[in-house]
Amino acid sequence: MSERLLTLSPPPHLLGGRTIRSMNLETLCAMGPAVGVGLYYFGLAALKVLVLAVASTTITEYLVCRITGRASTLGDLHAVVMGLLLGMILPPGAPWWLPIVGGFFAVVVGKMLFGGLGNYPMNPVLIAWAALALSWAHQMSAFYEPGALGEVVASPLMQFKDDIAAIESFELWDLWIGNSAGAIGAVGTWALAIGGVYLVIRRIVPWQIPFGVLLGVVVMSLVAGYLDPNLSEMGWEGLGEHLTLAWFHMATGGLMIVAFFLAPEPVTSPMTPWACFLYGLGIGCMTVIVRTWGAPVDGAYYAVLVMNAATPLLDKIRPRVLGKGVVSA
Amino acid sequence: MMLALKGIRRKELGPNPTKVVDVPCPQKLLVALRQQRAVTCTPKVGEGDRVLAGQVLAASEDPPGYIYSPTSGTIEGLVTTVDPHGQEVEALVLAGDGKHEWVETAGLVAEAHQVGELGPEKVLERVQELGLVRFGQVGSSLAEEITPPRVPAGYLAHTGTPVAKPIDTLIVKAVDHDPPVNPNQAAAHTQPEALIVGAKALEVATGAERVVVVAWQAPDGLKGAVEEAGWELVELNPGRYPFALDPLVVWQVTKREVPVAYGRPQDVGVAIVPAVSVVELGLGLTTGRPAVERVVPVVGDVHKPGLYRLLLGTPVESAIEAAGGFKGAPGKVLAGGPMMGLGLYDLGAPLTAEVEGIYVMSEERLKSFTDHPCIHCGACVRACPVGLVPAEIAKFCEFGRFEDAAQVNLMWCVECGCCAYVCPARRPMVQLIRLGKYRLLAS
Repeated sequence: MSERLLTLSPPPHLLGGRTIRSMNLETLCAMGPAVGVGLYYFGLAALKVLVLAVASTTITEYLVCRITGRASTLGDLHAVVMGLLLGMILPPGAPWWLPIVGGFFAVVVGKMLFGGLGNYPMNPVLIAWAALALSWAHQMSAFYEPGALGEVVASPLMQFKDDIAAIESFELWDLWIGNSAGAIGAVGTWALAIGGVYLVIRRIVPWQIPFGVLLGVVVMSLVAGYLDPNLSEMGWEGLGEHLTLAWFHMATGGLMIVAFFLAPEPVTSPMTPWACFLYGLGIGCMTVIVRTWGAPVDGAYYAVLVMNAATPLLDKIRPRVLGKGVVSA
Repeated sequence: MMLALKGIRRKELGPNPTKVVDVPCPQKLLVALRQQRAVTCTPKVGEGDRVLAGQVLAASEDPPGYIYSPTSGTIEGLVTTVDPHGQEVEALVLAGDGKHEWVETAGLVAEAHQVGELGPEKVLERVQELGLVRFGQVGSSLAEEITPPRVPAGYLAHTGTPVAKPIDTLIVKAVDHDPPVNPNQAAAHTQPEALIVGAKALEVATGAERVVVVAWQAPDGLKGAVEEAGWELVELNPGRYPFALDPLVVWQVTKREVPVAYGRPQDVGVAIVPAVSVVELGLGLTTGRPAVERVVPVVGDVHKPGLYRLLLGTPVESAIEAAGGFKGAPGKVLAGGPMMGLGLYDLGAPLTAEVEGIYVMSEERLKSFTDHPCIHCGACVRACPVGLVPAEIAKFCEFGRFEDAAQVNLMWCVECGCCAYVCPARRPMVQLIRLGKYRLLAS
C-alpha cells in the first residue's frame, strides 16, 4: 500500500462549466436590454419599482432561509432573477408597497413553501403577479404613456379589448420599440427578443419553447382574425393584413417576456423537445384566445400558469431510446 | 423518427499516437491472477521458480484463461493487492532479471499471408490460448466477444429481438471513447500491419461478410491495406463525446440498435473489437508470443503526458513516474479516461489487461457534486446520447423508487456521464443511476 491519499468519486470526473448561478447570471444579462428600455421610457418611477421588487425577493428569501434553518440560497441569484422579472411585469405607476407584497408572495408562497428552487409546480413570479392582479386590479393597471409620466392611461391591450377597431390607431413600430403604455420590462419588445435569442444561442432556453409560443400566437391570431366580423367590416383582406393582428399580439402585453423569460423558466417548463414545443404552442394559442374572447385583459401570464400545470403530463412525451427501436439485420 | 447523436463537446485530444516511449522493466512486477472480471486463475509456479517471458504463470479451466509471464525473472511470492477496479486480488510478485528472455514458442505460428487460410476453429483456439482479454470496460474474454450467441436465450423472445443470429459485421474500433486516453488510436498508428493480420483472423473467426475499420486520421499505410483487403474505412469525428462507445459506434456504422439493457452487439450480428485487442491477436499469430506489454497513455496532470510501452503488471506508480511524475498536488488517479474512468486509491495496483490508460488530475481541477434538487432544466435530456430523460431516472433512484426508474428505461443507460457533465445543479447522475441498476439487479 502506498501512503498517498487520493480522492475517489463516481464518474464523470470532469464537469461542464455551467452552474445554477452562472445560468441565472446570464439570464440577468439577457434581461439587461429590456430593463434599459423600461428605464429609458419610464425613468425613476420604473427604477423604484424594480429596486423594491428585487430587494423584497432577496430579503424575503434570506429571512425564510434563516427562519427555516437552511443554508442561505441567495448565492444562486435566483431570488434576484425572480425579483427583477416581477418588477418587469409591474406597471411603472405601481405604489411602493405593491412590489414589496409581490416579492414576499412570490418567495414565500410561490417558491419556498414548496421546498425552494427545483420543487415549485408553477412559476412563482406569475403566482405573485396573479395574486396582485386579482387583489389590486386598479393599481396593477397604472400604466403611463412614455413622456407623460404620472398620467394613468389605458394600455393598447385594454383599448383593443374594448374595441377591436382600436388596433388601427396604433403604430406597430411604436409597439415594437416600446414607445407605448405597458409594464416596465414588457414594453421593449425588440430588447426582449434580443435577450431571448442570446439565451437560446447559449442553450439556457430550449428554442422549442419561444418558437412554440410565437407560432401559437401567429396561428391563433389568424384564426381569430378570419373569424372576427369586425375586421372584415373594416376591410381587412388577405394574409398580410391578418398577420398584422399577430404582430400586434406579439408586441403588446406580456407576450414577449413570456416567450423568452417566463415560459422557459426551467423548473416549471417541460424537459423533452416535443413537450417543450407543445407547451409553448399551448401558451401562444391560449394567450390569443383569452385576449380575443376571454374576460381578462392579458392572457399571456395566465396561459403560462395553466401550461405549468400541464408540465408533468407533457413530460411523459419522451424521446426515442437508442436500442429500443426495431432491430433490423 | 431520426435519432441525432447528441452528447457533449470535448476538445481535449489525446497525445500524438505515433510517438511511443519505451519504459524499462521496473524491479518488481505484480501479475494479478485476475486479468478479466469473473476469471480467477490458479498459479502454476511457486516461490523461487525462475520463469521466462511468455511462460504460463497461472491458468483456469472453466472458463478457460491463461496468464503469461511478462518478463524473465524469479517469482518472489504471492501477495494480496488491489486491481484497477478497486477489488482485492492475489498477485504473483515477479522480480525481473532485466534479460527479457522468451520461452520457446510452442503454439501455432502463421505467416501474415497465411492467416486468411486458417479455419475459424483454429483462430478461436489460438485466441483462447493467447489469453486475450477484450480490452476496455467490458472485461470479458475476446473469444467470448467474437462468438455469436449460440443458444436462443429465452429472455430475448419477449422483447421481439431476433435470436441467435450469426455475426455478419466485424467492426475494428481504432477510435477511443474517452479522450485524451487513446490506446486504440495509438495501436492503429503504431502497428497497422499487426492490425490488418488480426482483423483478417477475426474476419475468418466470425465469418463476417462486412469488415469496417473505424478510425480517425488513419495513417496512409492503414488506409491502403484496408482498401486492399476489400474492407471499409469509416472516419468518426472525435470532437464529440461519447461517439465511440460500442453501442453508438454500432449504430453509426450499421444503423442497428444494440439492446443495451439485455443484449450485446453480437445480438444484432455485430462483433466490435478494439484495435488494441486486434493488434495483440495479430502479433500473437505471427510471432506466437502472447501479449505481455501494452501501449498505455499516461495523460492529464503529469509532466510528460504521452504514450508509454509498459509491461503488464507494472504498478501504476511506476507508470506515473515514467511519465515525469505528478504535476501539482495529486488529486485523482483514474484507470481510464476522465469521463468514465475509475478512481484508484492505491497506486501500488498493477496494470491489468483491462486498463485503457491512466488519467491524472491535480487537486485544483477536482470538481464536486452537490445534493441540490433537480431544477428540471432539461440540459441532460439535450445531452443524453441514447435519448433517455436522465433527470427523471435520477430522481426516482434518489428516492428509492427503482422499479419506476426501470419503467423509464433506467437499464438502457450507457453510463457515459454526459448528463452529470452538463447538469447545472451538479447532481451525481451516474452515481444515482448505478445505484438504481445495482439495486434492481440485486433484488
